[in-house]
Amino acid sequence: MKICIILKKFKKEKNNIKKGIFISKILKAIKVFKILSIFLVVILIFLLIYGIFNTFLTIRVHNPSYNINQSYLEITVPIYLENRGFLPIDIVTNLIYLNTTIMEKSTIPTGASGIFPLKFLLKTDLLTKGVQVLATINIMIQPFLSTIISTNMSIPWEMPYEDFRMGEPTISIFNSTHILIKMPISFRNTSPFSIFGKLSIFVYDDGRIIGYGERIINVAPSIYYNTSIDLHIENPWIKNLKYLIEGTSRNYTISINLPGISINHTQIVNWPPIIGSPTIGKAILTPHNLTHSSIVIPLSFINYAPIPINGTIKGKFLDQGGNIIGELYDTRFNVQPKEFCSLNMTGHLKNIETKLRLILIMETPYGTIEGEIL
Amino acid sequence: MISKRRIIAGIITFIVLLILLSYIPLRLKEVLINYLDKYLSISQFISSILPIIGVILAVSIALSVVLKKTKAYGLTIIISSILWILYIYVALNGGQIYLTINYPYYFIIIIDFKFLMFMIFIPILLDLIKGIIIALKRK
Repeated sequence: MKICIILKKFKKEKNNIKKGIFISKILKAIKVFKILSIFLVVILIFLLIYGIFNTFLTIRVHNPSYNINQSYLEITVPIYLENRGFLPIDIVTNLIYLNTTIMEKSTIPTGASGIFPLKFLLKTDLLTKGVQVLATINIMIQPFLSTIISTNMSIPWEMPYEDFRMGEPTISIFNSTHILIKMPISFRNTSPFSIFGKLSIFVYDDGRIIGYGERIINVAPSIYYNTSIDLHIENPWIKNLKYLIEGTSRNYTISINLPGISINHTQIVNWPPIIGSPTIGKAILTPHNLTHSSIVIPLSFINYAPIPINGTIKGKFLDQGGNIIGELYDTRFNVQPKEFCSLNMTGHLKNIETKLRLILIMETPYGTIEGEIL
Repeated sequence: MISKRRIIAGIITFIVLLILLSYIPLRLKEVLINYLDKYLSISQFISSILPIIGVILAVSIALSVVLKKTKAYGLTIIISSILWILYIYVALNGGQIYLTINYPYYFIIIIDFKFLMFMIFIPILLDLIKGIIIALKRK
């Protein structure tokens, strides 16, 4: 019985010893893990701080450059850096302005160096003086560190198209369907940006494009720029031949697209008659032979239009029955803009007593006009 | 029975930790506010409860030194570990530091190092496990 109790106690003691040894082993393992983890954390923190500090020392921020292209203001901030850390650096830039967000991401691998341009594209109305921008730069060394730098800055600028003027246009014939308008344009670039891009002009008549012209411009800051743009417009007189005599008035919408901005305006343009104030003088008859007489009819008109006109004019005399009883020979004319034209149309006429009808036919590059004179 | 040597060691530990964990953060906050507040907004940089937690932590660690090899040793380690975690969490502002720079431009800087903070917690968590094992063993 006693032996049994002793054996039980012995067994219990043995278990307790085993348990104690096991626990002390666990405690030793914990101690080892603790030392190892402290060592690792210290090394990691040291390497991170060392890498960040060394990388930070290499950062050089160069002067930002500005460029206006077709519809954006591009700001580039060149940053030189060398990633001297042991992990890649991710840089995410966020730009919020006028309810628009732009995000750009770049990764700088370990050991890489060079200029990393931070590019911002702002679509903005350059007629306003500056813009308010909320900029955020997130520099990440994943997964250990993330640094978010944000600022609410305003980028001011002077008007890039100060004193924008459209000069007096010169108009000439381009071909049989179009006229060429040379439109002088001038402005001073008072902004700090270079303006590079396409300057284009669209002309609309009742919503239909009837004219277009473009030119590439490149204007450095504080430069007075003076140029002219060739605008090809549908010939307004070709649309209706009566405009040749009566002129016309059109309500055009002109859209001027400059890099960064667009200007629309409507303009009433009066196209004067090319054959204005036509006057037929008194006919002079001289006997030619027994059956026919010679006839001279003076004709004058003023070319009020800014383009020249040339062509021929002829005529035929009809009796009451519609029979041809005489004709006016082809007479050529070439009238420059704003010039007075005086012609003597010559021809022959049968010597018969009747009421005459004169049909005049004027042939121009824009078409043939016929008119009847009693 | 607690030896005199342990009591002396406990007192020394308490004084050293009190300086390191409570006095220095308190003074540092004053220095930062006096000299850097023009440029940096650091009102939340060092929490005002940090020195208080520092005092409690110093007491707890000093007790763990004094009560080593007694039944209460495990419990003091558990309390110290929890307080360490709390202290580091408060000191590191939950793994996120907010800085506001007023000069020369207005900037808000947020430094997020939660992952690193959790890595710092690993040795403390191992200590916590150690404390639990010792407390259960003593039972």
